[in-house]
Amino acid sequence: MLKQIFKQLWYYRRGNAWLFIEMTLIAAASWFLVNAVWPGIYRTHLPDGYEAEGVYAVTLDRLGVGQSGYRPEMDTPEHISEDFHRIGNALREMSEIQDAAPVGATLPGLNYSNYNQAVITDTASKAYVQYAYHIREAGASDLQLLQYRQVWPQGAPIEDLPNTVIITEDLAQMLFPGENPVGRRLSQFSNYAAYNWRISGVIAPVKIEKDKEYRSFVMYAGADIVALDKGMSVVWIFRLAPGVDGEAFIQQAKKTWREDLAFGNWRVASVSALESNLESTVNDTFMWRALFVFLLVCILIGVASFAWLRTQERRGETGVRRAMGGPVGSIVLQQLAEVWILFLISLIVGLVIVINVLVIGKIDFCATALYAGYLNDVVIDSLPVLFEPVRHFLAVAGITAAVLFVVVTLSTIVPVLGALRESPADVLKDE
Amino acid sequence: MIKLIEISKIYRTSEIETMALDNINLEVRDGEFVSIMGPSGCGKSTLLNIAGLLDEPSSGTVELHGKAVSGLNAREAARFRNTELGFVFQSFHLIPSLNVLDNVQMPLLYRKMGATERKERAMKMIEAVGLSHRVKHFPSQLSGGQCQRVAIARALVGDPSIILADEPTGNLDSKMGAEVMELLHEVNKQRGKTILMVTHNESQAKQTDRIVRMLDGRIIG
Amino acid sequence: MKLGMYIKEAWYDLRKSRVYSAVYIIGTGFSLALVMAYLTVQSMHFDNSYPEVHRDRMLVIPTFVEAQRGSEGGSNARVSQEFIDRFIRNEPVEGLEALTAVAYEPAMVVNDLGEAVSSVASNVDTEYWKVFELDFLYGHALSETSWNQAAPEAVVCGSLARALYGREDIVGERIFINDREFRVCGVVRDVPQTASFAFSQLWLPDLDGDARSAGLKQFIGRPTLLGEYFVYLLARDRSDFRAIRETLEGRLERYNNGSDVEWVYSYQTGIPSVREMALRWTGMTSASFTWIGIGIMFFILLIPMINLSGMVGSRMEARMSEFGVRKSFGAWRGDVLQQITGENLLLTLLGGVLGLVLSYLLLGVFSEQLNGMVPGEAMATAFSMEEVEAAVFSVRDFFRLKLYVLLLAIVLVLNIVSALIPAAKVIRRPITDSLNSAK
Repeated sequence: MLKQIFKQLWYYRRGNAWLFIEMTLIAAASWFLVNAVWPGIYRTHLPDGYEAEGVYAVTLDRLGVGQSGYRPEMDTPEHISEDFHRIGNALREMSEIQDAAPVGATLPGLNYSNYNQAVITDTASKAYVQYAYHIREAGASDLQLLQYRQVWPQGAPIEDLPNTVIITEDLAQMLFPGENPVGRRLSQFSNYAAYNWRISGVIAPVKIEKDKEYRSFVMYAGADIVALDKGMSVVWIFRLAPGVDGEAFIQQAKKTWREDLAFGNWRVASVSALESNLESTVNDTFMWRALFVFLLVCILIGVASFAWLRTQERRGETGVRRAMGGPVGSIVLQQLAEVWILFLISLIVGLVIVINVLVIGKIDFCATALYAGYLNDVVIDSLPVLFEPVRHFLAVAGITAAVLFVVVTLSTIVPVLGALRESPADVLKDE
Repeated sequence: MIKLIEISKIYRTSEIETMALDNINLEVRDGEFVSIMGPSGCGKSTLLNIAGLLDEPSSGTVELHGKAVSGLNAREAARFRNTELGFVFQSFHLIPSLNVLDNVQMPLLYRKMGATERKERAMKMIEAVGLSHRVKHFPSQLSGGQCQRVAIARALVGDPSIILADEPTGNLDSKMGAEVMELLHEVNKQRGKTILMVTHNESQAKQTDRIVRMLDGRIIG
Repeated sequence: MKLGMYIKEAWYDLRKSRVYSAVYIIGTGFSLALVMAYLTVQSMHFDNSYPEVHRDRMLVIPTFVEAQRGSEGGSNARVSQEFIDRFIRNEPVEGLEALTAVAYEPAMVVNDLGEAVSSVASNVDTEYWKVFELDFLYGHALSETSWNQAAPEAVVCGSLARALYGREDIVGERIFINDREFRVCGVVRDVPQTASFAFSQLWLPDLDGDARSAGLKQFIGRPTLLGEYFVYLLARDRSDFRAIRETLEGRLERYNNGSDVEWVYSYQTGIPSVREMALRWTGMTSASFTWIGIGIMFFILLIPMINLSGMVGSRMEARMSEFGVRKSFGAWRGDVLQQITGENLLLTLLGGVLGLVLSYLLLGVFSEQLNGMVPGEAMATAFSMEEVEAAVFSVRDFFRLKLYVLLLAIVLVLNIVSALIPAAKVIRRPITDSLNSAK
């Protein structure tokens, strides 16, 4: 039967040419469109390293000279800290709020140009590892609130003391491969006090932006977060109690908290959901997705009309086959096989075109989403399907082929089955 | 006047060569009604196609009204067909998506003629073939004889001097066939059209002015 | 008329071959919908649209660079009022009809009940209303009296009015911004986000200009011409752009060449037009943006063109004997092409209408995403961390004659191109083969 199908395909090659050209173009274009969309989806579905769903952030501003309500006597460091913490206490007293914690505005979802620092790992080669620096308050409940996944210490809670740091697993592996880093200093190579922070715990890798790779993350715990504020803002985060209508509560909060939570010169500037903040910065691939859907619709229409026209042409042949006892299934399979073979050939030709474009155009199709300087080798090694060219190419080709195959199959089956509803007697009578 | 001078037609494929017409000489005078008869595959339809400029001979000359037309380019041949020739086919070849009026006026579309004049001439022809009560009907709503009458009206609407009919009654029963033949005779006698007709029907052929018999690409009588 | 006959034939075929016709119309409609949606969004951004009805003769001074003489690099910001007074207002500028300076900021607006609504605000001058034409639903624009420090006035958009007081007619009501009281003097029709410069929800008299510049000078630690203002220049005509640019650049250059000047200034991206402004960070010129757009639209139309060509070809194959008859009766090449394109025209036009309707649907459902496809963003929202609730498009912008004419032209081109190959096949086939194809 396969031989017969090939013969028929060759016989009808002029009539099939337009469909072949269309499928080849679509296969080639689809690879690029899938490559523009899928890596972002893949990265987005990697675990974030924390749970932002249901967590809200209260950003604050401070009244200044000349602004109504400003009280200069409340601008001492003691008052600033005390008033800041009174906000947190007020939040915790609300029955709708399960828990609240202070954090720096360097938290993922609040600030995307993270405060970048670097730790030296080797004085000889001057090797540095870049990391995102985040401030928090020692003993605060943000660790539980955000549900970071603890890696070290194993079987015991993190000793969350002032002047210690919690780092992510990828950084731990870079600095202390195969070892338990708890109790060690962040760097043994440097004289800077900053690098001598003691590591109190290690958490699973963290994404700063949802659709980008993991970034090395260092959370410094201070006794008083307000005192740590070196130009980085501090905010309160909270999680709502179960059963609370989040939308209604936040709408009300936005309207009233500027007055109700006014302590000293602190004023509530905004209340926002961490998850929506994170989602709002996800790269919009709408155009690529729209183009891909458009191409799928084109191929659906093209194959459907091709299948329909072919069934019309072969009405007589089909009628004769059925009159001679040919099962419907085998007739459908024959039509499908024809389209599948045409699809397979055009897919292969399309992918060859893609390879040529990639090679000749020297296109880096495995580019990182995160700035390459921030990307740790450990992270790169852990994501081979994104960064190894062959695997990446095949993954994208596989997804493209699968989606197109489904569309091509559906768009063939429907008209063919429709045509087979006619009785063989009616067909042969017309012929 | 139709004159075919030493006409040959050879069909060639990569493996076979077929001599469809072998050195044919034929003259049909103005106003004559000539039948061409012969067994299947003898070249009758090929002869008609060449006479009607639907096909080109491999060698020889076709003269129509004293003018050598076999050497005309495609555009000139199309114009000539439109003004001087009319065709009637065995399977009618009416356009299924057009009604009777539109089918009949179709040849006039390829002339510089206004819609009103086209319609008037088509209506006259439709009346002449006795189908004015079916003007808005589609071919699927007509009998075989009516279809052929529409085809004859179409062939005449451009007022050609020559009608070429390829087995015009081949798909009709005897009654309808007789009606169509009556119409063709009327066209020949009253309008003075020259008719060259291919037929298998001996009795119909005998009613014409002359019978030309063919066998294996040659005229034998 | 021949076209009438072809359309009649096409109508008959449409009713008879419903599947074929539906596939043709939907296929055409879908691709035209995408093209039309894109062209509409582009038009909203670049053609004159409410309230930026003078875009075609507007220039922008967006970013300004300050650098120490002799050093590389520098700081960039917007311009100060001092710059505007000294380099633009002090002497007439040939070709300049009006100019306005705007400072944007996020604003927490509080009503009488103490309820706060976050919005984006524009601090404007009296010339603002000449450069941008807002539709006033109630009240009037800011005027000289609006600058009264004791009782300043404000203009709000309709949706902000509804958010604050549950209704639009709030002229005379009080609102509080940073604990300062304003009286609403006017309510305007909402400005869509496609208005990159005029988009705002609140318009305030620029009362804090001096405090703003003083604050910046204090922060920098010395006098500076940098500031917080975007400047919009309204030329008499596009042809005056060159003169205006030369004048302003010339004045700055003369200043920079002064012997006692330590800090020199430049326009970071020149003085762009609206279109150039939108493209300034994309690395594309206006011409390259246009060509890329044409390229993408061509690609979007290419696939359906191939599709349609194939479908029409198959259809013509089934009607080959009909064409044989027509050629027998004298139809020539042009007649065949005319017929095929004429018959297709009905289906392509129906596809065009479907595409137009679908494009409205796409614009309604995917307004934000489609808006993101065209470079440029509302200046005001760049100053707000929070998501601003505001319409992306103005529905009235959907209906433009220019777009309909463009769509019709695309439909006709699509029609002709998709008929070319099938027509060529029909024309090339010998008449006798065509006639015999029915047997």
